[in-house]
Amino acid sequence: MALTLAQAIQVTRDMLAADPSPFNFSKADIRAAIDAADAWATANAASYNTALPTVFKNGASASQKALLLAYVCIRRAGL
Amino acid sequence: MATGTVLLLPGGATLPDGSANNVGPGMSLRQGSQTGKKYHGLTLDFDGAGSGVESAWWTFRLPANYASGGTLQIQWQSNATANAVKWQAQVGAITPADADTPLEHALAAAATVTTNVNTTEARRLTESSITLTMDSAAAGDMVELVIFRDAADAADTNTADAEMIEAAFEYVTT
Repeated sequence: MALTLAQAIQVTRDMLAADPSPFNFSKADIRAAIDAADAWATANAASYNTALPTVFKNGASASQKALLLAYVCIRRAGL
Repeated sequence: MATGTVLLLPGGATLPDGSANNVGPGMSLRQGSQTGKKYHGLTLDFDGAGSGVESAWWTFRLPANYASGGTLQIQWQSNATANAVKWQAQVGAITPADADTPLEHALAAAATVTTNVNTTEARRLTESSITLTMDSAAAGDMVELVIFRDAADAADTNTADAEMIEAAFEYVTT
């Protein structure tokens, strides 16, 4: 399910709040990037789930799996 | 004839109540990077990421030496080195005993300017000039002035906040 406009705006705000770097992307550019990341997440959801160890895969909720991926990516980026 | 000025500072703004179509910018206290005693100043942070209008209001008495004109000089910065901000402003001028009360008075048409952010360094000071539609204003009128930014406007491409440091209303004196 694709992100709504309101969700995409919130993603942008979260990015602006979390990273003090200059933000040089137009609204169209950032929306296209969000849509691309969203589409990638949809296309690779099954692959991600398969990659998880069995205990977590079978015991974690969809929210917990989403948070795991998000926070791993955030920490990998040094944030 | 000379140029008169009315300063419009963030701390002197009246911010809307947050209801639909009445959202105000955030206000930030910014600290300089000097050694020892550091600069401190307020900014009004007009949103660029959202989908609606943010506005801030000033009210003042048009000075007795007002003759004509009305230009808004907005000094601002943004945490970006690409894209543009579209500033918009409207004025309402109410003469004492006008049929419309200050709360009823319709504002004159909005005037706008679209200005690129500084492309060399984020948050370098940038100035935008708007020639206002002055609503037949005369000396002694009560002026309602609103500065706003519509994040959904196609000409406003900057996603980051436009941080207004101060603005000056300039006019031709008698």
